[in-house]
Amino acid sequence: MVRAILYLRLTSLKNFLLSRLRRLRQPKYLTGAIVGLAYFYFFFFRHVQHLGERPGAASVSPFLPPDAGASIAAVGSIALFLVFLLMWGAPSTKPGLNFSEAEIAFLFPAPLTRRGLVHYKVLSAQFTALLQSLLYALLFNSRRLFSGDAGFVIVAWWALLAIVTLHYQGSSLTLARLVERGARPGRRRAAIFALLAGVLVATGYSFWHGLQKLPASADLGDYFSRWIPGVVNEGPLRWLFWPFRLLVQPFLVHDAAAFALALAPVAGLLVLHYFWVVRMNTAFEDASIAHAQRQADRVAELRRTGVLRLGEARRHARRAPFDLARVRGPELAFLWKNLLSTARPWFTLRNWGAVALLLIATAAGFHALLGPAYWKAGGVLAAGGALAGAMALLYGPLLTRLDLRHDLANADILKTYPLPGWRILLGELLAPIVVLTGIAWLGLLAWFLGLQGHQPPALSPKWFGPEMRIVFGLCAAVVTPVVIAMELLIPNAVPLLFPSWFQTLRTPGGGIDLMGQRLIFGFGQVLVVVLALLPAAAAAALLVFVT
Amino acid sequence: MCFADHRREMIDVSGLTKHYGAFTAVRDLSFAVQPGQVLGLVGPNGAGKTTTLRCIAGIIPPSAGRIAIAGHDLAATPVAAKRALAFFPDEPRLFDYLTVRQHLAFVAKIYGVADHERLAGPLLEEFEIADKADELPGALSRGMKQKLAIACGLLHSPSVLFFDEPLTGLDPLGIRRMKRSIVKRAADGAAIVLSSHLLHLLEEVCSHVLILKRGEKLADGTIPEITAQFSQGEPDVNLEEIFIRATGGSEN
Repeated sequence: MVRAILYLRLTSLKNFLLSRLRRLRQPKYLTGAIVGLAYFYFFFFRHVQHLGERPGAASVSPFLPPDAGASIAAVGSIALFLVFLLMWGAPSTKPGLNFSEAEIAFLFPAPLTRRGLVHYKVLSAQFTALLQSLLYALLFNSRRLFSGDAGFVIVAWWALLAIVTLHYQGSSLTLARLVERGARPGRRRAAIFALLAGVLVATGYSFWHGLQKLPASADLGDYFSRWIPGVVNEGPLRWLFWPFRLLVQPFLVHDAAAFALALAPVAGLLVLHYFWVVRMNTAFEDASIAHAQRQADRVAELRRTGVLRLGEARRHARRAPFDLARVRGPELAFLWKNLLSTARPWFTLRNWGAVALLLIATAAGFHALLGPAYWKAGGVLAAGGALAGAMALLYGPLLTRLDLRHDLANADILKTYPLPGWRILLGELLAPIVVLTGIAWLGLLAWFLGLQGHQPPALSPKWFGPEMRIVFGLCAAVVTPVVIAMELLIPNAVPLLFPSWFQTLRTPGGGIDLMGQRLIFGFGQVLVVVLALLPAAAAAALLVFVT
Repeated sequence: MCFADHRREMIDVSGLTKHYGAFTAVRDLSFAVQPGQVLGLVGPNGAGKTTTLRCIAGIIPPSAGRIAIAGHDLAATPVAAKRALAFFPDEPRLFDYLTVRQHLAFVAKIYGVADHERLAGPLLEEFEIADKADELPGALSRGMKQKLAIACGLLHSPSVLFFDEPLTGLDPLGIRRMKRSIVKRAADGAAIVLSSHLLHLLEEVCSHVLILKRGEKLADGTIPEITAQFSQGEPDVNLEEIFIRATGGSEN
């Protein structure tokens, strides 16, 4: 079994790397790889100056103070506690052992026992955990990864990820067995949430108690940074957090002896988890097959439409966004269809009207409550609205796929429609324009309401006075759909002008070359908008200068 | 555990039942297949054909009932039972980053087939994919993938074969070769169960037919026996007409 797993994993890895290297012979992948590597260099490798040199025992990160280790360990322990608690309290709908369709086809009818299959999955997961540990070490501990501590960091990550994976598998199998035996999930959830509530009450009391003893002149930030390690390492909760402190400890030591000492209990936990999972004899086959089928459907859909569906396939018809019979023009039929295809059913006039009314009511409520001090709440509302609007304007077109790209799999049908190409493209672009404009307009409304009445004293009345706000708001409202349409033209032109590049963008999975290609298209989109807005921005700057 | 009373029967299914929650996919199904026999499993969509095949191939556990493959109880001695069988799903599911040759090598390791390269060569030749031996599945057509999946299943010389819609995606030449291959394996002594909607395929290659509807057996026997049961004395009634009469012509 172990030989077969090693053969499968190592041969697949070798072939995967070779195929990725071979495709670099095509300029589209080579260009993407160069851009992707440049991105990695600037974000991760640029800071590495002394390869092989230990960063020093006291240092956790070059960006953090030397004594931050205790706080990081405490935060890490709390995070792990919550992750493990969620595995029991709100378990995933996935089976504990996720087999691919190929694994099911080859291994389920093979002469293996159920325990053999569990063993296969557990050992395969360690292989994945090892690869993930390299990635996480690169993302979170890049300085130590390129120092003499590289081995410590990788082993610490691997042990942590292996235990988390094994605990996920063990908890899923245990819960499945409990359900098999007729256990009620409600009681389990109640017990888990009672434990969580107990922890929250205990920590809340500890925080409040410490706060009472604090002198009035004390620094709250300093108190908080000392209080968190205190919760985890002292008091009654230290026993609860003890196993999680053990898991974090290997990340904080720097010499071989201390590392071995920190790793020993983690290895013990790993062995216990291993035996727990392997000795479970729960029927997982039905759930694994159903999950593999869903995964395969999602990958097929991604290849077909370029859109990754996160949840289950929709089974029930959705309420139409508007009455199609009452409108004219085939473009609006595309809008109607694409609005029905959105991942979330929120984009209806009724919902947007409700959000607008809620914003108005909120602003009015704060006005009534705070009077002249309204700007304290209004400032937050205005900043939030401006941020939401800017995000919809700048990132929305980068993220949405609700346009021609979504329909390219049906290109043969689209071409048979008795419509000129521009009308089809316009129809396909309408849905993202409408959705993103709606979000941006709501953001504008929040901004406008937030600055209404008593505005923050720091803002210049000349530029943020009532008249200017109206002028700016109206201009922004008019320009927004045009800018969004402009941004959407680039990604929609790509599949028509560079179909082979677009196909690679729909390829599931990652890779530095694909990441680089996506970066190139992202840069292209931003560049077009910047160039298009440059004359207007220059005119505005001139106006400011003149006045 | 061996079934001493049923040694002639390579596949012996007794009281097979499979529940998915409150839904019963297969109910109290019993049948047997002897060496050299080809049993065609037919029924409308949702009749429980794939569930039955998956249960008797040891892919999913049955809720009740007993299954023996080549005399070995599938529940008590799954390894010995599975060593004798091969399952061919309707869609070829392959590992993305193993070549054709490496798929066969992996299967050989799983089944403990010694000297697999000697066996793999003729299989690749038989299925006409020898020239693709070093290609990844991504470079193969659907028909070639199907052929590779079948070659992998035959590598350990199974005596019990389960086919789920074996002709899906094959071209006319591939269909003819597949039918010949099934008949040849049966003639060599294999016990075969195949599920298909293509009734003409069943007429050509099956010695026996089992008609399922809503998880329950409607009829089971040789084609002449089934024909006699549903023809109501009419001459020249084909299997399609028999199927419609037996199932009432609808899924429900």
